Amino acid sequence: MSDLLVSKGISKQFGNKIALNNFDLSIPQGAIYGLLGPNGAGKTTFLRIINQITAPDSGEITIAGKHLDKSIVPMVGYMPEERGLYNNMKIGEQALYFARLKGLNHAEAIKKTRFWFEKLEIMEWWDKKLTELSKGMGQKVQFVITVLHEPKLLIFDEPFSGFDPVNAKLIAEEIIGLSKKGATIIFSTHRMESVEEMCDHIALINQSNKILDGEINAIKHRFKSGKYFVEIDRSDKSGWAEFKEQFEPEIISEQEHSMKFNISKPDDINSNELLIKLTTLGHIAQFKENIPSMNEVFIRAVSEN
Amino acid sequence: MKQILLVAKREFMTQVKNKTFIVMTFLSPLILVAIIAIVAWMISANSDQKNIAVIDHSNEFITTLASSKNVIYNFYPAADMEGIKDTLVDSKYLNGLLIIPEFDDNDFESLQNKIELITNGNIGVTFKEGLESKINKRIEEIKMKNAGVSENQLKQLKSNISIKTFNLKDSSGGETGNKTEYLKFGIAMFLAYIVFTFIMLYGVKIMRSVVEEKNNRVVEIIISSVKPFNLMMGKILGTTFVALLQFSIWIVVGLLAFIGGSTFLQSKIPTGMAQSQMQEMMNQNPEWMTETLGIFDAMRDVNFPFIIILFLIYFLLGYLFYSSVFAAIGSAVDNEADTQQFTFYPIFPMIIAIYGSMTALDNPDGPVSFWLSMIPLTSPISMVVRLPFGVEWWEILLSLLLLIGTMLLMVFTASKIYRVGILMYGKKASFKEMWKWIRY
Repeated sequence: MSDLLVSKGISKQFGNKIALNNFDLSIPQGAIYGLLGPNGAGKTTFLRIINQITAPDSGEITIAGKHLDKSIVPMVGYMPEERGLYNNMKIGEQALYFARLKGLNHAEAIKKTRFWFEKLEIMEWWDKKLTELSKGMGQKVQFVITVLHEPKLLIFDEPFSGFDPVNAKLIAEEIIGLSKKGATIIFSTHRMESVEEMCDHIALINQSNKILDGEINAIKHRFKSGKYFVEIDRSDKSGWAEFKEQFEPEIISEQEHSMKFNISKPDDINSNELLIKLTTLGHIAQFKENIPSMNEVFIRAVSEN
Repeated sequence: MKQILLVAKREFMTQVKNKTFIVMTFLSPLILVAIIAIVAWMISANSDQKNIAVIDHSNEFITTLASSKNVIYNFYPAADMEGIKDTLVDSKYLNGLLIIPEFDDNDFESLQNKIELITNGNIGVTFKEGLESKINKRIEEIKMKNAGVSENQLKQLKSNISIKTFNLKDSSGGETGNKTEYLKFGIAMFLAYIVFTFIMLYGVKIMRSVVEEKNNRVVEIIISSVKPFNLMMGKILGTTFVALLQFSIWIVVGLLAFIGGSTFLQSKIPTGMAQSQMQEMMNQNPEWMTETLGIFDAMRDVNFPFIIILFLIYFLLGYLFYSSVFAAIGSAVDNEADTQQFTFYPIFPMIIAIYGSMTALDNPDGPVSFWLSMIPLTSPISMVVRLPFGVEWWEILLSLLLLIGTMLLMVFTASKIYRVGILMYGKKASFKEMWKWIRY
């Protein structure tokens, strides 16, 4: 898979504050890429640089091999963290205006706005002003404005903050649909759990620096502890004392007929052999490798750095 | 360029569709007419007729104090003095009693402070001064008579000279009368006020529109597609079109009212009669005729194409300069209330320009006028004031160069402040911070 966006050595400083420090990143074509890190890590600055809102002090970014200039604008759709629409302008006219600013001609802009308004069932709002709509409705319009011109690269800053669960699900489905059609997606958020399941690639950012990046499964694999979670229904306690001696499980709960514990797999046996050992204790209800959450990965990655 | 036009179009449409625009466009001429009518009425209501009773012991002032439209003098015998004084206290009809004592022809000094004017209210400084000068003039006549100057000689002594002025540097090279001077001053101040009002009105509009976009947070989405500079210029351009539309409407409405009014009047008067009436008016009131003709003559002396073209150039440059300042202010604050602290700075030089330029009537080529029309902050107003009086080409050229240079520098600086400012939420910027933004 080739890379759609490549960032090389991007640095940005505001006064004395370093916002981004020598930032390298490659985002593969068609990826759903999570840019994760706490508030103030430099995520939004990076997104603003991609969108040519701020210029970097040094380094360069290419999108589909092109340097950032006017020709990039139609290729990018950006939904900033600070959502915003005009209060005193009709919804339909606003959508047309933003589409035209992205380089669509009048006929195309109308066609595509209609398409998306119909798809999200908001056609009847066309002549309404933002002040007449609920917050959730406004968010739908905001989304339409971001994706309307069918950009190759879609950027969502804190994508689901402020969306109610119903709209968040709807928008998430639409985003996955766009991804399947070939769009590359960037999610930027500090709530790592919110996008974890959707992303296939991630980069972790902390204090202006990239800590690590890559395929999400590979990263999780790298940070897994080698521990397994086990739940056993047992009829008697025979063999437990010996087992406990050998594997030193961390007991989570212990009841008359049911036990839950975490266990570290010794290096000299594989998981199947471990499972066979466990079957001697009773019926196995659950056996699963402990995969760390993104939060855990982040905390460990930061402490390792 | 395409983007600037798109932004300008949106700005134009939003402002024109706004109810305030429609109300302002059609209501403000009416308000203006109403204000003029009220002021005119107040002036006429204020200068009512005065009735003055005179008791003249000397019997010298009967001819001097002749009644006119505004003041009526009634002479009474000395015996009535107490009676008049009593009536005066509560009288609505009588405004004052003038008492002139008897005096010795050889001792006018004794008359000092002896002439009394008793009033039942405030008589007004202008009236008092007029009365004093009339009495003084009469006393001078008496003095001259005493010195042996005959009535005839006195008449010959009087002169009524009005200086004719010729300006060699004027393109027409012709005579410039007082009327021309006043007309030029009128045009000058009118144009200056247009520049000032227009910049204020529409500069503030641009500022509001910037603050609104910042408040809505819509600005970040826009500048992911449009360069901040293009956005700013689009806003300025769009607002300029709104202003042009508004002025065009006013001019058209004004012309229609004028044409409609005059055709209405003409239809009321049969043509044949109108001419004879005009003739009659000319015979009855030759002064009025010469005055009217004088104004037309004066208008011919003014070089209108020259004034209008340069007015438009200065106007546009000054407008660009100040509206970029207003745009920068809008970007640096979070809400409209905070703008007041900064709007003072652009208004200040414009007010100096307006009042400084009032000295132009006395001396259009004087140092104050000259420097105000050179400094780019004031030249869009002050040079416009000087234009009707004629300005040297090198002065116009120099002032234009300075203004264009400063304007470009200001637009550039403002766009830098704007670029950073529109993304700064939650704080009101200080000058120190803005200086930092310029250097980012």
